[in-house]
Amino acid sequence: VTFAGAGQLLIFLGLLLATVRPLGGYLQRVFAGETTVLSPLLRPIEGELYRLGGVRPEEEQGWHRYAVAFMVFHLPGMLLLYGLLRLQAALPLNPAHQGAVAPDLALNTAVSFATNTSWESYGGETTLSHLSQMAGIAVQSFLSAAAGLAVAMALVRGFARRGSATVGNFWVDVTRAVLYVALPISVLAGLVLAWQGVPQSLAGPVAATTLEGAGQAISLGPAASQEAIKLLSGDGGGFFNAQSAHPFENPTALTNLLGILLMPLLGAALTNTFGRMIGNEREGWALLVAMLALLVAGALVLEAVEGAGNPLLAAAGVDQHLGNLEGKEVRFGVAGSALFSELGTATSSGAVNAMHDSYLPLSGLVLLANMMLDEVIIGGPGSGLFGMLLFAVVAVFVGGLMIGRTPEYVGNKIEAREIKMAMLAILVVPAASLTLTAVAVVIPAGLAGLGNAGPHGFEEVLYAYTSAANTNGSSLAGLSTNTPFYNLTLALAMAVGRFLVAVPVIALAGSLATKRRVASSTGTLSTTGPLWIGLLIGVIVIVGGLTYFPALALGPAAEHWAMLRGATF
Amino acid sequence: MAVPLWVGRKLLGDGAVSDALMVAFIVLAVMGPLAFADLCRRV
Repeated sequence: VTFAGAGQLLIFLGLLLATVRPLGGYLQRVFAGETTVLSPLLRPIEGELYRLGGVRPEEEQGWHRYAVAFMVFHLPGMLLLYGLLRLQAALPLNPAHQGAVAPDLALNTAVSFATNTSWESYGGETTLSHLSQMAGIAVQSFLSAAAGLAVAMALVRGFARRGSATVGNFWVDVTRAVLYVALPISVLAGLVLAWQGVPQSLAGPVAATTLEGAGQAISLGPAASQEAIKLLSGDGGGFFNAQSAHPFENPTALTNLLGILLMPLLGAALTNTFGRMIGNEREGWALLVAMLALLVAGALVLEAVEGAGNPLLAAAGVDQHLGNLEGKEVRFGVAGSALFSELGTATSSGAVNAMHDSYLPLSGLVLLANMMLDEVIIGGPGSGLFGMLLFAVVAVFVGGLMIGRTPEYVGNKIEAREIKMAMLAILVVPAASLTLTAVAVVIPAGLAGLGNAGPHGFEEVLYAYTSAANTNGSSLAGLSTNTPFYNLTLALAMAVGRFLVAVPVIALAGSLATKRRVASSTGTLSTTGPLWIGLLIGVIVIVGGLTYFPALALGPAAEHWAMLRGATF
Repeated sequence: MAVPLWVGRKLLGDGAVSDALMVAFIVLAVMGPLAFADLCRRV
């Protein structure tokens, strides 16, 4: 690990940890409806929105109503985005004269952004109008992040409440998440990005002549405002095709650091919010330490593997002392790329500033594993916390089996129903991603998209469905997915990964909320110490490992051993 | 159904049939999990 790599990691960790308590406390006050520093400005707007929507904020919902509201909430957003994409040629703010987006691609994109995935089977600047970007993509980034935060709040209330039939009001949670959390942070981040040189314009492409005399269209657009919510929301979909490797989307070292910090910002702070809401901040810190341990381990492996360079190129006499720079921006180097990629895959953001297809096989394995662990390594806003809490439920169950006691977690007895809901939510994602991968690698429509043969080709398909079902959205880039087969099956994976996970999570919240508090005793497993953190990490790695080991062995692991023998694909 | 398809054909040409299918996909993708919610209630 280089000095630059270790230094960036330490700076990032220091800045992130400094935000956890203040932001965690702020989130707790926002979702409890308490007065915050922004209340004088935003409370009148909030009240007006409730009035227009017919929402009674004091009226809470049971888990089933909350889940129905969560689902119904997504329908108009998806239909609106689909309509915008199909009709963009006839709508304003289209200076580059982009045509209608094809039906299958419009469907894929609508599902992708409404589910907080941001899988992109298109290049932004060559496909979308400014209106589609602003009123479609960016709006869904706000709303999908807010819906994820709402589900997490419902689950935390489930853990915190005693004998309650309700878990909150979905519409209130979503409104507060957008108004008090996503909008203010995005405005601040957008201003910093614009200051650093990210375009914020409604103009069309600028015609330029290169030094060789060729014509070039340099795309502009409202990129700074979209980039801010892209990074904060866990959506991660780029304004430009090259995403955060594009000098207009990520122009400086400061914007790269800002991106690295924004991606885990809400996910990390939510662990503290959880601790505050259940009355013991140490419970939240334990979850965050488990998340950060997995995050740092992945970052160090990426840094070490990419920093060592490509052994085949080294054997051919190519200088590798700066590491494996294929597919990376020289501006960011191995250190700035590896940390960004680690966070892009671990936090469910899916943002990239380097081409993941060019990473060495063991690095590809790490990127896949980050997503395969159900996006609990900080994860997306809300989704990371509720994913980690699902594993906590399973971990106390495993711990209970070891010592022969009924498992408990933060004062709640974990019984058969809670375990069923947790396992449903955990297993539905690998069931979707592995089944669809298996289908795609045996039928002609799936094989037609491969950019490479052998284990690397398999990894391209596995990566695509893993990314989609875990609502990550990053891609390995070698696979041509803008085909009806991939657009439809990836949309299916994204819908499964979003809705069929959220429903059992909300059901779990409802089940927990009705329980009475269990007094802790000497036999209660402590869920704040190193033993608990080790057990939790162990359960996450073992469940993920057992589920995905065969697929990883066929893909990146096989490619690694083949590379050491001199074979490439 | 015929009226939206006619309007769709005017605006989008022959893609209108595809649009009807894609919209049906979206509606099913969102509303289908409601059945899953009922399943969770019974488990």
